[in-house]
Amino acid sequence: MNKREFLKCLTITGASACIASTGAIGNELISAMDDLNTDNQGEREASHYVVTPRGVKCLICPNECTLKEGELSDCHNRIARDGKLFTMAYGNPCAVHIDPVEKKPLLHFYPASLSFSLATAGCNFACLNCQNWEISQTSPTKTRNYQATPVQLVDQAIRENCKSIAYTYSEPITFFEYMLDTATLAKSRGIKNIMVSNGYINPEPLLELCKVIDAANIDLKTFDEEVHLKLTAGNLKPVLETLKTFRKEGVWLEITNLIVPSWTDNFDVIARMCDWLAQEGFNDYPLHFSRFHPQHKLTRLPVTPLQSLTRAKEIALKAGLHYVYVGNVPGIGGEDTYCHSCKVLLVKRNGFEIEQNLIVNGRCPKCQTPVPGRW
Amino acid sequence: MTTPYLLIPVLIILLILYGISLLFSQLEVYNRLTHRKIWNYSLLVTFLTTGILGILMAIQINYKIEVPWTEKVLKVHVNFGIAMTIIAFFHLLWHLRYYLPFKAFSGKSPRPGTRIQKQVNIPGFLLPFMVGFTAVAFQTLVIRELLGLFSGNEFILSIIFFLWLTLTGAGAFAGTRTNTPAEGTRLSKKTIYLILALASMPVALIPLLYFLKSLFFSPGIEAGPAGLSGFLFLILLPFCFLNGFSFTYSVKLLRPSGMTAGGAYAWESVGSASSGFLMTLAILLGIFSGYPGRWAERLIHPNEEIIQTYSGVSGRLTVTRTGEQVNIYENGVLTHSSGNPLTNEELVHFTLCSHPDPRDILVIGGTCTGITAELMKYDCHRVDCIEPDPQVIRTAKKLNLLAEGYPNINYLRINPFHHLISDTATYDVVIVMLAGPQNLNLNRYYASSFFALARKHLGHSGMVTVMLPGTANYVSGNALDMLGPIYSAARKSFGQVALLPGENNYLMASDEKWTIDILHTLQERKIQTTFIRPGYFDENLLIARKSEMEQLLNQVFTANEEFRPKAFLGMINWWIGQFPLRLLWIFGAAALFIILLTLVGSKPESNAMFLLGAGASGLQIILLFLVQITAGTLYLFAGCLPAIFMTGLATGSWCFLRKRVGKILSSDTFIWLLFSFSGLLLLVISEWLAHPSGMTGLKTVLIFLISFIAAFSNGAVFARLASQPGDHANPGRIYAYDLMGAALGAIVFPLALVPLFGIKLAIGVISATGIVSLGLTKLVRKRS
Repeated sequence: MNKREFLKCLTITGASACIASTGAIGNELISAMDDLNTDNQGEREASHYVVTPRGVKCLICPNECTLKEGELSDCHNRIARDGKLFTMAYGNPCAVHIDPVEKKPLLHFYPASLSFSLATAGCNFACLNCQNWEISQTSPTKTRNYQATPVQLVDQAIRENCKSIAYTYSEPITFFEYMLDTATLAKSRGIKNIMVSNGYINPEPLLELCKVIDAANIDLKTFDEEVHLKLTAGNLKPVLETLKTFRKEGVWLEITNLIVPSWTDNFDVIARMCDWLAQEGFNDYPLHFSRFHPQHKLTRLPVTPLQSLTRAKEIALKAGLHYVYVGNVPGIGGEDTYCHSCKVLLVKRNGFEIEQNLIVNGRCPKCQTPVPGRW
Repeated sequence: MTTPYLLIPVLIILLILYGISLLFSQLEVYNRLTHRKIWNYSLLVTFLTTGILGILMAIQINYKIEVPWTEKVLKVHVNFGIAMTIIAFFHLLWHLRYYLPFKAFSGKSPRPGTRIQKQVNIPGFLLPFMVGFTAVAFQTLVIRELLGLFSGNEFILSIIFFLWLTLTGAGAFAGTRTNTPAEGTRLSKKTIYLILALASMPVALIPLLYFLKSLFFSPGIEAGPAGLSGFLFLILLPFCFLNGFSFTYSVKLLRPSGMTAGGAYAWESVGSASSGFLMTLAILLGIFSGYPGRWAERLIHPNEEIIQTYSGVSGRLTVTRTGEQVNIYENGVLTHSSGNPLTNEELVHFTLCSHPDPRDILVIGGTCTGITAELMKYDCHRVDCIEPDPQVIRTAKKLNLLAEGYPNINYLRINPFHHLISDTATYDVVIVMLAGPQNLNLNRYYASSFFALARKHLGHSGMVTVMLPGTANYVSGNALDMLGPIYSAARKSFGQVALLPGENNYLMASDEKWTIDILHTLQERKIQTTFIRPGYFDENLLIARKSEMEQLLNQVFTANEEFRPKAFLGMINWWIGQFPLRLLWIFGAAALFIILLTLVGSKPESNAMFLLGAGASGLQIILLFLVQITAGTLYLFAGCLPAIFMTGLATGSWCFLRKRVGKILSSDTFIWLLFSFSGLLLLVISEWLAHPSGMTGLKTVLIFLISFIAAFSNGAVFARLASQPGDHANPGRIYAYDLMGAALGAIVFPLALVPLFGIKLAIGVISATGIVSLGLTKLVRKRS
């Protein structure tokens, strides 16, 4: 190869590589442009942000995205415009259903009541096994949305005889302002507020929420930092802090741990998690072990074997946790509530139905031990 | 990656690259000095990167500077450090004499270009023959394994072919740059080494594939297009590059002996054809049924006990155990876990409770899931069970996965379409329990022709229920693009169609109206269930969600057909939508890259070959698609169809060289237009090919014939272009352009033309490439 041929080859290769890279970058630009739908009716100025020399910094969750003009946040819901941060998830839920409260799962919170459940698109995690990935890994500009102001939501919940409104499905932290306004109004009108969340939120907005949220179900995905990061793209510590804050602020709390084979089914880790919960005073807060089903990017794993769930439950009870449940596995009584003192069966459940509830004034009828919860 | 630092991957990659570099220096692609320069520069780069990052981290730690990227920097520092150490070890081997002054290491190496090659008494044609033989052998085995590991769909297949052909073409380009002295009719020792390297790579790379898969992808992860492409690039690089290089190298090597490029091409094609036939026979005889073995499955399912694994003509069936739970995987995708009856209950009870008196039932798919036990809760006279791949039933029986003790259950080992066409049985209910329209074979079960065929076998109030992927709490646009065409396809044959959303979605179609009254019916019939009962199942919610679904589907969707596989394309889009990437842009850029690389400054003959290569590749892929549609299996034909194609190539090339085709037949116009004719023939009979009217044998023969004709034309064109006098006819370059064009065709046709315009128009465009290619050649002749 002479010099001329070499230079020609190099030029062609370089030009082609640039074009290929442009294609890749162009892909990102197209994605970003799609997200910047200026016709989005759900847009309003966000709370909890600060303007820095590098851009607008969101302070809602530990991701703390710093956004330049027109840039979208990691949760797909916030955008920087004219030196301010705007949320695109306000008044535009994409999923609205009425569910039994046991489905959240909340078993110690007004059992047998209905919960008006909603979500907008967006999430500050990127869980590999997300059941709702079609709404969590996208922005409200790309989903088919309803239009519902907080007033309309609360009115609808009352009309449907719902005891509570649940902010769920995707990640309610990412529609913080919408949730906060709706919850404030709902509280004033006697409707309870439930948050089903990953708990990945900064302390200041969390404290604000604690004033209006009555109950929370937090997903404690795993107690292993590295696995947590690989599975969710988020850190574990802020979630643990959220649990502590909820407890301290008196918000009713139930914790869910999804056992994913090969990822979060290490029983030593589960034991450490249960020990931590017991040491930090979460003995009276229900812990739910739930069964994994192949979803999203984790489709080449089996469902969680029943033995894994029952063994996890044994570990949790041994660690000193009083109310441990195995969800959605009929026939094993996994969701029945027992008095942790005298072991009498207090609440017998058949799926989402209550066959028997012996709790009187929040106590065991036999030994009068308080049964924590909101009855 | 499952480990923080890339110790093993870096080691493997560097060993492979070093091996290739060393081989090239031995084969005098470049001299030893260049080989050492490459690795000197690599050592310098890794050393500087490791050192500079190390110093930066030292500064950061010493002076407590807060930076967010510390962890990333550490990872890069360590990984480059690993690379540096390995490369340093190579250098140590070069200078071993310096450090260990033993006599064994003394002695001078010959100057570059002065090596006297020891000749071995092995005929020269063996090299091109082995190139072809190993290529098809590797292709057959690798495609089978890759489709089993990464979903067996045509999209993945296109990516594989694109990378395969690009890398082979790049190797072919490299082969044209060698300065090797010609060897004559007998081969030198180092050429024998090359042949051995080619022959051993398929055996070595398949196990490596599993090992690297377990290394690069965490357990259970669905690989996205980008990750998949990168992984495939790594796996295919060593063999494909070497294979491409070996062909053009062999052309130069054997020229003095009188063997022309066309002759080498013919021997290569003979090797490919032989390999293809042998591999097909081996697959049919089940020789590869246990390959690569349980150890490989253990890598993919690390925390499961592998009970059994079997590779059949339609893919791999793997049975594992976790505790007492038995799990079944078909081509790597979980189809059933015992102890989780929800799907079986929904599918069976939603359907049978909607029929007044279900007695005779046909179940397509789901044999291994225990659905038959659920059906037996009803008073059924007859339950016929069929699988798209009849082999699955045989395997399931061997593995004791079939429900035993029910005399009225019949497991039919016949293709479902053949059964529906040839049998006159009438059913009350037809249930389709498959994985969704994930590939063109499965897409047939969601097409209007299937619904029409099933309807002919239904009795009064008969019903068809088809299971579809679930959509949880929200139905996205992509999901609708999959569901809508299937809904429209069913509406063409049935008056009443509804979609019930549960754990999965269930499309139910009948001519009679029905109401949802599941819980009451179960109670009346005294049927015990685990999930579909009060407390767990909310019938009112089901009805409400059904109405929501009807509103969403109340728009015009093009009905799903075999030749306009809208549901399949919707499914692919839905899958891609999980990953933050628009693949079309990446491959569009890659396609442009290929075009630029090959066309800028090239000769018109090369362009003509490029275009014809693109058309031929596109035609082969569409023929593979059609094989899926007609014969229902890709795995069996993964070796067979390339073999037919290669036979055609060899024959065309040989006929032209030996001038055995007569005056008329040897004209330019004829051999080019022969290619267009093959495309037009396919276009004319395509509808008949896709129609489920049986005659699979005849249809398969016609597909082979079309493949042969197209390949014959391609081979003759190559031989003509490569044998022209002057500088235009650089055979190696023409071969490389052929491959590059084929790589482009492998992407453009299946990923652009077919999705946008349908299979028929894509075939039309393919036919036109023959005419345009001819036009280019005529243009050159006219100018000269």
